[in-house]
Amino acid sequence: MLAHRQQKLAIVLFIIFGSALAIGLVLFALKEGINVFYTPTEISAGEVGQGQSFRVGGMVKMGSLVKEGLEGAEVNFLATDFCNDVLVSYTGPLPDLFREGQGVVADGSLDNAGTFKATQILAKHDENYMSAEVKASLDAAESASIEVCHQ
Amino acid sequence: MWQWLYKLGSPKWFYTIGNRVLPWLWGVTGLLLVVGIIWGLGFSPPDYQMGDNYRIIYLHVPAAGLMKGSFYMMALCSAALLIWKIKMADIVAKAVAPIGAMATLLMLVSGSLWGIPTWGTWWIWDARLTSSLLQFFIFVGIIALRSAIESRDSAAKACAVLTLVGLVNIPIIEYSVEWWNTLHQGASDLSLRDSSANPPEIWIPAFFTGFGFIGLFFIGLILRSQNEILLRERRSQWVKDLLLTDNAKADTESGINTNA
Amino acid sequence: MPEFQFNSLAELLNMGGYAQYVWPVYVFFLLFCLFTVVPPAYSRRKIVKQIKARLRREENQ
Repeated sequence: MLAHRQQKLAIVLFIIFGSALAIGLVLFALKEGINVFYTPTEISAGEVGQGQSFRVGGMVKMGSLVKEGLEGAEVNFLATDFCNDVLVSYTGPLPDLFREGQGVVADGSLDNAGTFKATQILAKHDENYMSAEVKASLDAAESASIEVCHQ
Repeated sequence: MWQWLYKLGSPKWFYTIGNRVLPWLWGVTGLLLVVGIIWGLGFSPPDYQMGDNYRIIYLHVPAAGLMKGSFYMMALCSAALLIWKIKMADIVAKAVAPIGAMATLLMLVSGSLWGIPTWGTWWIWDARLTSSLLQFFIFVGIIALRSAIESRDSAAKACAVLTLVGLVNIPIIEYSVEWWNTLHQGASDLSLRDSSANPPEIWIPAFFTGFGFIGLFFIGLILRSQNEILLRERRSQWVKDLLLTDNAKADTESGINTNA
Repeated sequence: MPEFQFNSLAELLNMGGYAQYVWPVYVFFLLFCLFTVVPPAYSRRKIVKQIKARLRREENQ
């Protein structure tokens, strides 16, 4: 009876680890395909071809945001991963969280000049929630944390 | 400990204890949810970026937790069924599946509504969202599989195997935001200090709703398991005694007179 | 002590302009609560009724 149960236990463990291994291998093979965006560094390394539709993700570089006019008009900004930048150009509605220093994911393609012509802009939120007061005191305490390139 | 587990495996014992626990569970759960929701909607400060929109977090995060918790519970029961053939384990696994499916749906819907103004889209096929949607289909698939197989024992075994296979998806959901580039942000580091990101004033209401969700989960688990117990044990003497002795009131809230 | 963040009921309902996203989530949660409790309570009645009816039939035989 005990041997019988041990056999069952072995079968259960086999199911769990077998399927984990199988799916792990599939995910490993798909590794790049699962990423929802490319970083500016990957783009400057030429991982994406011209005219190909894809997404670029990064931070809106501080001081790079140029709004050509009123709401709905063209915006230009640099998307950065702190190593490389990509110039993004876009016309259309923007999410509430779109601003300098904020994560951004843009859908579109590169033109001949290497400018990313975006058809959709999504804002990426970080995992930090706090009130405006706490944010202000944090900012006062540490004068603008400088992000650096990790490569 | 073993004695206790052994008793828990007895449907009659589970049914009786369930009735004793339920009134307390109702009270505590109601209190936790009411406090958490009022606090979260009215008293925690607005986020510096998202304003009042982030108040969705007080349901979104507990729903995600319940999705995970439900599936861990089902996996544990499935293993117990396959290894020790504990009948009660199958009853609980069956009871939890619809609760887990609905919690996953709540998580997906609340996330979508949160995403519209914040991200600028209600859906994106990133690793976190896609694996979460897959989890919903795993829950639904397990429910469908059970109803598709006529023999109860075969259905129980098939569902148990499918649950154990589906278990792989849980760490994928958990770590998707670290393994791949996703639009969804990573997990928050809660802080005990008032003057840092994710301070107590933000996350305490989530603590209340979170435990409220756990209470709700066990209420649903007990109610559904008791139904299944009555159905499976309908020919047993204790069910006959139970229903005949308290003829007047045999619904959920009634206490049970039979101690035999 | 946490303070109430809104000056009026209208302001609370408005949710800083995000009413159309926040409130549906809480309504959906209410549905989730009902789903957890109501269908099993309903089927409990049906099951108990069925078993009792069968017990009565068997007694009469």
